[in-house]
Amino acid sequence: MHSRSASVLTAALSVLVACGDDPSPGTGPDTTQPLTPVVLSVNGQGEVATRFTGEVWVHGNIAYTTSWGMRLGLNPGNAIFIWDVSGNTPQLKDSVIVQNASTLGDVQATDDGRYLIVATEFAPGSIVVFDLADPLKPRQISRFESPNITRGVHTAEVRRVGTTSYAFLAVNTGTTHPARLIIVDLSDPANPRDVWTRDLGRPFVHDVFVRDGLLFTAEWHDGMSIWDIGGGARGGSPSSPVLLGNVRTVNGSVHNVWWFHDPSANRKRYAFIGEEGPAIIGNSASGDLHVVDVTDMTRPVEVAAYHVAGAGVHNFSMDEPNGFLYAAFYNGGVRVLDVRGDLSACTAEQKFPDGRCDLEKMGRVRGIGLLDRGKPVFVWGVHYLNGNVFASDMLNGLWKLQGVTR
Amino acid sequence: MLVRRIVFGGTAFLAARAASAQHVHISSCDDGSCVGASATLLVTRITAAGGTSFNEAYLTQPFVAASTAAWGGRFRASGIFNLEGYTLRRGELSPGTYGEGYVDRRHPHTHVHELMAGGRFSLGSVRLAISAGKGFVPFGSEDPMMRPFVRYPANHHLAQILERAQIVTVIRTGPVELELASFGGDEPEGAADWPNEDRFFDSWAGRATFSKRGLEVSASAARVKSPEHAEGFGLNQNKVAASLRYSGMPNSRIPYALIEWAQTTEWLGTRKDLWSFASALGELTVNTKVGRVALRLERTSRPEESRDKTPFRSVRPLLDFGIVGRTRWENATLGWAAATSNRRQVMPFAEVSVNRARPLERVVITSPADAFGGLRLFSISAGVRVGLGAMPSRMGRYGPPPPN
Repeated sequence: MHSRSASVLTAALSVLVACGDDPSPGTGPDTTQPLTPVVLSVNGQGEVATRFTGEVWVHGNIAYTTSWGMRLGLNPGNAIFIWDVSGNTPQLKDSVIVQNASTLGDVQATDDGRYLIVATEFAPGSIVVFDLADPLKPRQISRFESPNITRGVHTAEVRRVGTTSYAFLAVNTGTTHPARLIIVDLSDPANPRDVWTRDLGRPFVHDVFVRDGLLFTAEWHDGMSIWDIGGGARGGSPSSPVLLGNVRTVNGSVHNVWWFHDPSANRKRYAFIGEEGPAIIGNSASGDLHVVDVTDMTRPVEVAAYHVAGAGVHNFSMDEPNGFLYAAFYNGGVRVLDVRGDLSACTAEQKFPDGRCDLEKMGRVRGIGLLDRGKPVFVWGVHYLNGNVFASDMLNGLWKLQGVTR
Repeated sequence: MLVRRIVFGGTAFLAARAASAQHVHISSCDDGSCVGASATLLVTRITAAGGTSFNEAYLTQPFVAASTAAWGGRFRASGIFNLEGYTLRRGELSPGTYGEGYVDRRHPHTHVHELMAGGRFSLGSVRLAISAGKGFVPFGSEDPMMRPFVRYPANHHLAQILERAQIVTVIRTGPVELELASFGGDEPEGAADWPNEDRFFDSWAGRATFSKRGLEVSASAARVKSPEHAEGFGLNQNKVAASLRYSGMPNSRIPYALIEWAQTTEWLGTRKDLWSFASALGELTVNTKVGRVALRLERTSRPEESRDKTPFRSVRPLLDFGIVGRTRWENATLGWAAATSNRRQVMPFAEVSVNRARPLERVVITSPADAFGGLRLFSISAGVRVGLGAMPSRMGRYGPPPPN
């Protein structure tokens, strides 16, 4: 009876805390009743056994996956695979070999679907621009290289700022220069030109996120910075970013970012950060998902995190209308978190020892995918689109899963 | 007079080298001043079962060493100029070895392999030494270059810490020696590289040694900050090692034996126990009528890293802090070398090795088979060592010598 009373009291307090902090609609799950995560349904798999699969991008019914490293001592990560994903099982339709590359770490299409941009590693490094007039037959139209890039481009985020598309290149540390960020103007995709370069990140910058004229940079142990590039009212632009704020998250190793726009509450309060901790690639990983409150862009603060023992987070995608974050968790498969509502309000029992809220204890984990396949997975990236989740698995290729519903 | 005595040629360098493994000090050099040089011409053939063969030749371990003492031995300095940066740029094919961006090829050492100077003092029965410079950190066992085999063991980066900027304090009383060092954790990034100033004193090591009648028992520990990432953001290492070493008279039946165990655990921030690598190794030398015969047995685990350009080079500078697996090596090496004498400065040798590699992870991303075509290897090496002059009997010992 005593423990039951305590549970009731704790539950009541939790509701009060949650209500007090977040009276707005769309408050997320009832955190007093942790949900059992569902197992994501797998629609089908497009197997790749000859190369290690890297990033995934989906536009319409076509998916593009890249490749990484060297598999079987024979096959380098220089291939782009092109998939028809209109059915349940991804169908491999074609591939493109990128010359003078050993890893293609990132791939993304422009928002109008006209061009595909691929980042190449290692030395010298570049981005390659393809015309997608025929989405199944990418045609290379340019390759951007620079003396400022000597050991490869790790990621290349492509976003529109105003009316112009830009590529944001996270450039690897070289033997003669530190890691740096280069912003490339793609208004003429056949002739990309760099408009801004800055050494950034200690020791790396691995990724960025761009939205509404703000640039979020993942600067490893230097944390995450927010820059005005046209939307921050500080006079910034892609050719002259203005620093707004920075946050150092627990454990550092800031690898990637997603700034969440929650249409259910018309809020833009949280940025999610992926921490890339040490890993034994293919087998185990480490690194938590961190939640940062960016209400005050000049003073972002970490409020919550999600930890999976023995696994680490990598890239994100979101079903924003429904408030679900999809996270690639390497050997931990795909994880789905309900991120609607107040993520900074939790009971004492739902906190990490350092005071941050623990999303798992808050009942925010809604789904887990690909751990039921009977074989190891190592999920690099995810892409949510129209109710489906596409997961690139370094070991097995491309998976198509069913997203969760509210 | 700063240089009291220079020994050059009177005592054969190779005798000194043999002595390093056989408990005979060349007193004129250990207590005085000397200059020596050495180089080894090596031909190696490695064949993988079901795989390919490699035939290579090198001028390996070429160096000039000098040491001096003054003021009654109260001041000492030593230095080794290593030329592997010129003769061994691609590395020496050596299955199981790794480190400093090389895989299955032993990396060249830096030009300035050692440059240390310091003073020795006495406080009653306690003798002290303080040295500073670039050199051998008091951790683990003797540098492989001073041991009976030309080919290095796989555990070089588990059982030794070399070429660091450091301050070493040595306290000796009777048969017990305690060495403590503060040093910079960064590994060299190339043969011409110097320790980074901003990394000075970010790491420490300690070694306790008990020596008596040719037997030497030692235990050591070290905490090394970010050895593989020069800026200091990489994985840190906690290292422990223990060894039992025997040095007999040079002409005795068994002039040298060594048993050692070493372990390195890597960590970062709050992630304290990411993974470990361990090694057990035994070496034995026997004098026979046909020369010195030596046997080495080793079991060592090592990291596998993403490869760059060739299967024998890993990505440097690092682009993240992951590895792609671990491999356990089981190696057996049988060596022969002609007997040395004070007059002979040329020593033919031959070594035969069998190596077996076994990936330790369920999912194998990169394995030695990518380079060799198989995981069972057979290798044969032969060549000649050439020596000139004399040098101290041991490397990396900056304290007072043990009592006779």
